[in-house]
Amino acid sequence: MTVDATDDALLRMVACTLVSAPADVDALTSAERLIADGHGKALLSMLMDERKLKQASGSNDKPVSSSLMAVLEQIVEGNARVGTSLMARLYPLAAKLQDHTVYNAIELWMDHISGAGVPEVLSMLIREGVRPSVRVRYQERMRAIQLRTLQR
Amino acid sequence: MPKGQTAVVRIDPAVVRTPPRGVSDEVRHAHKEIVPTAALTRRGNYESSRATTLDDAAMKTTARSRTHIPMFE
Repeated sequence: MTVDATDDALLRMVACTLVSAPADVDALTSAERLIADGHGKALLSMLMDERKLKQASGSNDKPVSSSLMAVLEQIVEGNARVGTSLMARLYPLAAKLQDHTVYNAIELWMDHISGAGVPEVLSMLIREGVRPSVRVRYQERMRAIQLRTLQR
Repeated sequence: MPKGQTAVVRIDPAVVRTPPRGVSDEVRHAHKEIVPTAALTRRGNYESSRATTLDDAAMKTTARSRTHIPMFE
């Protein structure tokens, strides 16, 4: 998926807004559209960059995945589809970074989350082509979320 | 523990959320896991996805709330 200049500017603006105001309705709506258009990976990457910049100007020495997770937890409260998509993308990264706290926290969220459109978000990630071990975990989570959403 | 596998006990501090959401990582807790020895780094760390997760009785489980074993003072 290529990102043109307009998308890039929008991605940067949305990422910048979400890091400062994770519940911003307009930014969440734009984020959902960007994810649907296939820019989820780029959005997570820009959120990480924004978080790093913010950390560099403060005294926070937590790993960037940890401080981003705090933002994603607020995003998921405002828009479960956007939050789930971004958390699911952070999940294999947290594993690689050996950030067990974030990895486990994402699993706890996935065990509780439900809502219309949430399983489809994971289905979209599976179709993008992820590592087989990650695909299995996404599929397990997707089935559990589908079940919970039906039972609501 | 069979050769080639390492038993891991990991202790995590409580995750602070405002407001608290009542999830199992919000108290100090431990994780009991089995990790392939070959997956361990020199410092003893490992990719989270390589671990087989256990409950407090050391039985395999994928129920995330059971893999967070609360520790109380």
